[in-house]
Amino acid sequence: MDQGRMWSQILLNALIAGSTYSLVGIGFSLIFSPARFFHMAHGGIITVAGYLVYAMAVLFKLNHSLSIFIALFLAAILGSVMELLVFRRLRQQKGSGTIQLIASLGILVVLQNLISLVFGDDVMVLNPGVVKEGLQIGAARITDVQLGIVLTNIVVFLLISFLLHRTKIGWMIRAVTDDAELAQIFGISVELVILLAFFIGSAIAGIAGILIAYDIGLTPLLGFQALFMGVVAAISGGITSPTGTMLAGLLLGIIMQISAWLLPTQWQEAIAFTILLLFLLLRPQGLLGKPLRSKKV
Amino acid sequence: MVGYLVFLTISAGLFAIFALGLNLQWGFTGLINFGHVAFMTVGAYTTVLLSSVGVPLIIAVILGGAIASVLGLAIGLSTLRLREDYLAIVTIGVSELIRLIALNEEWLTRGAFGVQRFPLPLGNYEPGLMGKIIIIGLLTLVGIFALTQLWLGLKNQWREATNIKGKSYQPKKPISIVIWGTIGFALIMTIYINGCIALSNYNYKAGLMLLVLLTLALIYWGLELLVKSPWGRVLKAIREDEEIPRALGKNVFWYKLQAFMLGGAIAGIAGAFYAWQLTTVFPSNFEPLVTFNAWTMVVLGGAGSNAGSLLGVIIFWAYDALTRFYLPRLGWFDSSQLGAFRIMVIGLILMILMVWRPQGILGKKEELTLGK
Repeated sequence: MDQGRMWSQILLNALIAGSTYSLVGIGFSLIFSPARFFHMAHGGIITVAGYLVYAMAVLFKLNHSLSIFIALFLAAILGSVMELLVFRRLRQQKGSGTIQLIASLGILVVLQNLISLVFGDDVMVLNPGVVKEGLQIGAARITDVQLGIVLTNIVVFLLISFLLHRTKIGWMIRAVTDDAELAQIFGISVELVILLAFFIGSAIAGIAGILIAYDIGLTPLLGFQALFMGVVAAISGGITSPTGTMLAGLLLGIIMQISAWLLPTQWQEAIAFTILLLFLLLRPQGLLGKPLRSKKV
Repeated sequence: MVGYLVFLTISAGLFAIFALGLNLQWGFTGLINFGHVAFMTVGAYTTVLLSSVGVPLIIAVILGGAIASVLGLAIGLSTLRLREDYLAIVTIGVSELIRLIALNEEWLTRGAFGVQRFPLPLGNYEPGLMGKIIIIGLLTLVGIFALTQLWLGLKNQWREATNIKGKSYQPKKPISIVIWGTIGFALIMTIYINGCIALSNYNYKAGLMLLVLLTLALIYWGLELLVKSPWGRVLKAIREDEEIPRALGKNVFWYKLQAFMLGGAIAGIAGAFYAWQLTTVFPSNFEPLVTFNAWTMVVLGGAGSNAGSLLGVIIFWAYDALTRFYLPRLGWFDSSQLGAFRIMVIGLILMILMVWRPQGILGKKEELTLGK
């Protein structure tokens, strides 16, 4: 393979990988912004959505687009149910972010093992039919699922930006993000805003999970691995900023792909982690973030 | 049966050491360490690799703990100044990174093949009559220590139950204290008598059991002294609200760092025992699940209480042994499903605990980091 072709393929792969990181990160940061805790079970929703599509489309032979639609809806419902049953209760008991984080970890473990109980630990393939040649873009190749990932990421990013900056709901979410108590005083229902954030954020997690499932297949650990990269993207982008998350996700994709070419592949995770550490050391508020107030004064 | 109980005692003992380290970090200082297994990995590999090139075991273990605490220093310096949940994600990352290093740096750790045939403590020890009397005497000392601790703990509980100040105390029924006491006494006696039988027919595992129990008793004693000292009170104050000790002129960051490093060192020592119990060390022994189990033990027993952590460990291993034994008989699941099911139940317990009783069994509600 000649130099130019290789580099265009690397960049294209970086775009694809970066888009998945950014999708996961945007959903994560949308929930983190008003709820203010690390929602680990987000990873569980990613996995569950993928397996739901598998169950419906492959096991019950439903139409693929119908299954995707139902799975997305169920993912959003699942996230909202978590908020209603667990996190809302914890907030009412004045549970700190750390308590919610541990509860969320518990949910992640439950979902992950429930999946492995029902479907087993083997890799499941969702993509129907033979492997397609893929589209030719310049000198590089991309499959239609991968193209879908890139386009979906752009669409989701635009929709969320629109939602946050041009609608009443987004205005409320941003108000709660800035200062929940003040927002409450101004008559915004904080509980409702957080529920909405969980609903939308979990739907985005569902989208990410389904796309990853179509692209590389399903394992029970899928969501956890995706979540880690998404969190790295969200933190290094400035955790409450979707634009920053997307930029950081794409940047992360580029760095990971280039390093995958330079270094043995088993070090990929280590590289992501090094980037995270560098950001935390040098620019803890992330690319586009404002410094977070760690505590109410 | 004796052999199996010895195995359970070693496992519970080394996990108790491990959980005590986590309890110092999370229970007393409020640091979320989701990568506790990283310290264990470092401790285990350091001990095993050093001792197999001829370093005396005791020095190897101390170095293992020291290097684990240096890892704590590195993590702490970079993250302890930030929001507390950033520590969670960084420690997850570190534990994966350490496991990757163990898996891939074959020149150092022999990778997936694992480290085999390393020196074991008291590996070739064959006690005569005098030796046996000494080791059983040591076990008796540990047993007496455990009984006094149980007695003191129960006496405290009794005083609280009969002496209700204000309305915030939930009155405990004295009868439950008697039941707990009986269970605790029976448990200690079972372990003690079983230990004596095992030690009199001495084999390697019995010796290891004695070492684990001795170390556990020492660490427990040390930690109890520490957390009741002024140093420990500062840690608790940091957990409650770090602005207050800061206003009183305490260097909060430095205290957090000390707690994090000390907890890491304790986990490193637990790692050495883990390696000696396994007798072959593979990277796959140090999965994130180990951290998760330790969290369950600490949270279940009651964060911020050393005795609670021990209780959590005992309940966890009882659960582990019982489900390992009885669940297959039901015939609901095949073996891989069984593992998933057992972990799922633990996750469920952790979630329900957080909602219904975040202070755990022995924790105090008014001592928990709730309002922030």
